Amino acid sequence: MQARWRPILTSVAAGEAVDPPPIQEAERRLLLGLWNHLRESVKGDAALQLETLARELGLDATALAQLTTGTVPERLFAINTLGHLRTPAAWAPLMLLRQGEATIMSLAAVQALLRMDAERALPELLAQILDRDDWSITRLLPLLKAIDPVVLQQALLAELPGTSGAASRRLLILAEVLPTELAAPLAHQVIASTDDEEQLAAALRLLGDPRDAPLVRRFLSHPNWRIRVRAVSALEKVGGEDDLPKLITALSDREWWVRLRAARALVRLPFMDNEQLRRLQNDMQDRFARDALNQVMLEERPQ
Amino acid sequence: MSMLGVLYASQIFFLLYFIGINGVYILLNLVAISSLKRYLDQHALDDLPRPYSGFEPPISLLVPAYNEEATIAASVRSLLQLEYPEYEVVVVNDGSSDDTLEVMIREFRMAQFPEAFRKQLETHPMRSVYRSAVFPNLRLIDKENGGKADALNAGINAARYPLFCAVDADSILQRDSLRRAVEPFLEEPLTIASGGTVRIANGCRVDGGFLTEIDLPHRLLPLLQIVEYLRAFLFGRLGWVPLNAVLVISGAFGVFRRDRVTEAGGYRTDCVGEDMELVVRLHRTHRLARRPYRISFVPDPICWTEAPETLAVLKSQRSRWQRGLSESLALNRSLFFHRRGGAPGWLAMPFMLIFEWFSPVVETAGYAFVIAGFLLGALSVEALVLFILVAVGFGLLLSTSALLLEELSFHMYPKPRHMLAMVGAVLIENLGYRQLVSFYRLIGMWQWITNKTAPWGRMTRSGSWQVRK
Repeated sequence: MQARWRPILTSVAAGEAVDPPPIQEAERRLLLGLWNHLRESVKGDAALQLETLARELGLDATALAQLTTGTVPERLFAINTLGHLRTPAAWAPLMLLRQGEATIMSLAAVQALLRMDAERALPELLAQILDRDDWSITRLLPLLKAIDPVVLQQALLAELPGTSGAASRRLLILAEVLPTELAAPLAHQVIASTDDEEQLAAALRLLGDPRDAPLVRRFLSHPNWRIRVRAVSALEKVGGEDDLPKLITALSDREWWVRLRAARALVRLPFMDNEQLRRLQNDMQDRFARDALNQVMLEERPQ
Repeated sequence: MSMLGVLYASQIFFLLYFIGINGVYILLNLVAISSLKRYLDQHALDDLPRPYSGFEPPISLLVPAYNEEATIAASVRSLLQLEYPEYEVVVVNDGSSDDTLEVMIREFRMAQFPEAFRKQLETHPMRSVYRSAVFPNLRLIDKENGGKADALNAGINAARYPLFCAVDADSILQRDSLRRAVEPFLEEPLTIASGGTVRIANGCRVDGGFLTEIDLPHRLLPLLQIVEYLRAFLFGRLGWVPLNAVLVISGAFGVFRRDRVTEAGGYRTDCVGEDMELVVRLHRTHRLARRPYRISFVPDPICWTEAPETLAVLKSQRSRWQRGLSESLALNRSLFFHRRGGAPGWLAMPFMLIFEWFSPVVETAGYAFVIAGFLLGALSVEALVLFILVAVGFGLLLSTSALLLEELSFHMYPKPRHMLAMVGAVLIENLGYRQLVSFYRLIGMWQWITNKTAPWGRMTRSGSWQVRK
């Protein structure tokens, strides 16, 4: 089966006109596996041509049937296929599958739904995405990264007012896939409305526009060192020359992580040349601050 | 009670013990079969060609090294070629008396680096930190000799990433080992540690630090250990996964959450079995604090290691493992039947105590009693046959089952001659080898009781597979 179909699929992906042979019933399951392997390897026109061929061969119908009657591996391949083919009839069964307890199967369904129509799926999925602890953040981030950032931002903004605690923190972490200008409004909303330190720390990670510098500076002397770390890191992106004294002060913070981040921020400031850094280091009275700066200088600007 | 009565009662005890131990193993076997099927089913899409997303958690690979001048450069070179988006290699030279440090400096252009990091775990004094001028993700910690656990703790202090992977300097990894080992952390956010199946490299072809051809060893001793490892990893580990009661993650390869290990106090430096002790302690501290967690195990073969090729080395290794088991159970005894002990405290640890720790005593004594009883005429031929059937027959059944499971799942030994050799090994393993290993473990038990220590636990390796071309 592989020897017969692999060259056909490869030719189709390469844009060649191919008249595929009739497909035997017994071959359908194996062909679905082979098609998925090739489909995952290509992008652009090649992907579209493979999808057209799959529809012509009726692989969407095969996948739909497997979705309910197949074994676990067959159902996973079916979900993956239907996501790629954006088969409308698969929407309802996939919506059901994403509610299942099995983590891998439900996440595969989420991915398929987002591929099919992210704008329609997100409002329905987001509450569950924020609620299900078994859906790992590291699994979700690439799924969200693949969709239109404006669509994602709108969905997150709509969901944010109704969330609190862990769900809110999770939402802010997921927002990190957004470009800074789209993520910032979420951070502004959170900073304006909560005292929850974990949420504040997560929100500070989203800031990267120099216009947010005054907002970031407010947190440089926060009693929680985790927030100070985030503020110093954010200042690296949004700060200007005026912030130099603040970063130098942070170099002597009682917490090692803050000192290290402050040193990193100082060394990465575009207007700080090696000579200025060396002078700053020599003038330091605090040994810990000097050590932190020395280490980062050697790491980031080796002589 | 008369002498004959004592002999009779003992035989009944031994028979019941052997039935018990094998019964439990068969149960574990069944659980493992079901776990493996579920695992393989759920990971059906894993083989699809998918690029890394860039969101995989970065990993610090910690490589403790003591007198590894001959192999350290090749090992580190292969670690630097692993396929994973973001990782660092931290080699910890534990006060080697040979040229390990010089080799590292020369081969990787390591230069001293004034790194300031937070010392979260106490270790022997650190002499210096080096960074490679060629590989930005390679660092070397040079410290005073304090043993493997101390070296690992120094590595944890220096690690920059939230996950660390403890690797023996002579472990052979596969290019995708890190990707596979990190899976449990992605699938279950509560995961704090994960181990993988360790296979035997003797007989295989290794080029550039990577396994390029899987084959069986020509020598009998490592061949027998292949069957033994299959049983140990496929049943002994996988069987406990659904209960979240995996007590052992091999020191050759294991991934851990750095913050949780640091909170638990890192590796104990007064143990010979620091790898198992840490895992049992993680169970204990998390269970007693009612802190949700998961310790997982990946059945995929992700690490290959050289097995002893001589009886002397095997004896040293097995007695050491037995001491490690003794320490792990003794140091964490408060988890035994604790009301918050869960499956580790109520099932896995009692199992380890009765059927793993105590089994060398019963097995060795059992064989001695039965043979003595038979020779003295106190045991009938029927009873002797029954005993051998229980002791050896069940062993054969379990080993065969492990072999079948391997064939149905990973199928790492594809040639017919592989299968023939393995079936032969299954037969021979139960007729002498297992009994010998029991005896070696008994020695380890005695060493633990008499408090004999053994720093670094070095194993003499032939390394013949390293140079096979």
